[in-house]
Amino acid sequence: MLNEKNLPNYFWVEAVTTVIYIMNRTPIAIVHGMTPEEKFTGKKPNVSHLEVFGHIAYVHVPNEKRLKLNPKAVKCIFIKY
Amino acid sequence: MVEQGLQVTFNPNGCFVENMKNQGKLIAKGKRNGRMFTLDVNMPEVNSMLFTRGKGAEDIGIWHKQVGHVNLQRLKLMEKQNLVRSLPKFGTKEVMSKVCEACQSGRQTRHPFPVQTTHVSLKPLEMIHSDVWTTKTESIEGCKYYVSSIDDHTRKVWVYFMKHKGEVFQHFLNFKAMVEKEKGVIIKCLRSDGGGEYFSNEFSEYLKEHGIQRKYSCS
Repeated sequence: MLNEKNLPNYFWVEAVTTVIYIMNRTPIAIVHGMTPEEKFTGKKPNVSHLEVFGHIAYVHVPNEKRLKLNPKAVKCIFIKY
Repeated sequence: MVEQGLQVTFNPNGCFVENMKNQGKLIAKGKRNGRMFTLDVNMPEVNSMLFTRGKGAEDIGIWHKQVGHVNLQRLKLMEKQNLVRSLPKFGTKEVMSKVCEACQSGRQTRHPFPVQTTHVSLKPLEMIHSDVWTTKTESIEGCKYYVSSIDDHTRKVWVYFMKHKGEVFQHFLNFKAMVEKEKGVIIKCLRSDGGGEYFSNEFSEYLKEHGIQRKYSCS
């Protein structure tokens, strides 16, 4: 994932965190027909908020942190949930 | 030659190859040249006698080697389905007269691991697998290690990042408090490798005090 987006290796903590986050929300063979998250919490995990690791994201700047003419969003790279 | 029922005689007149199966019919004659006998191997009869194999050579072990140490089932399949010409007939039950040493040293494989694991936990937090991972690259916060905790029943994974291995114990306490509160059950067993970070005095004491069983991944 780091190589795919040409991110430096010191982002490995973020990469591992993301992998674990996704792993807990994807099914594995030994837990039949369930994701580990569901098996543990009893609730089906929501995946609507998943993003591609390392992609470019625009983060909204709330009203109180900007003036009239300031940009409404800043450009960021998504690395962690 | 003798294996094929031939008789070779040497006398002052030369050497004689006779077929004993055919009333001693003379097949080939060699000249005597001083103290040496010469036999023309280019004569078709001699050639076929010298270089065809006797019955003994149909041993499946020799064919096994000739066909590049192929396994016997495949060799028998080749014979059975007529995939090649001039392969002798083997019986279906025929086995090699002795174990092929080259195959033992060169082609031996391990038995596969049994598919079923010896332990299957039935409830969450019955067993926690824990291990410390390390990397040379420091993260932004300066972490070089992380400890993973996996619940054996649900396979849910938690990770904690560390700057030093010694933080394992504190992270275990935090993890334990969090999941036990969430599930309302307690951790019964901790399975780890023999890493030193799991064997500090306070860690061992704590596990003993709280009755958490310790298991090792390789025992």
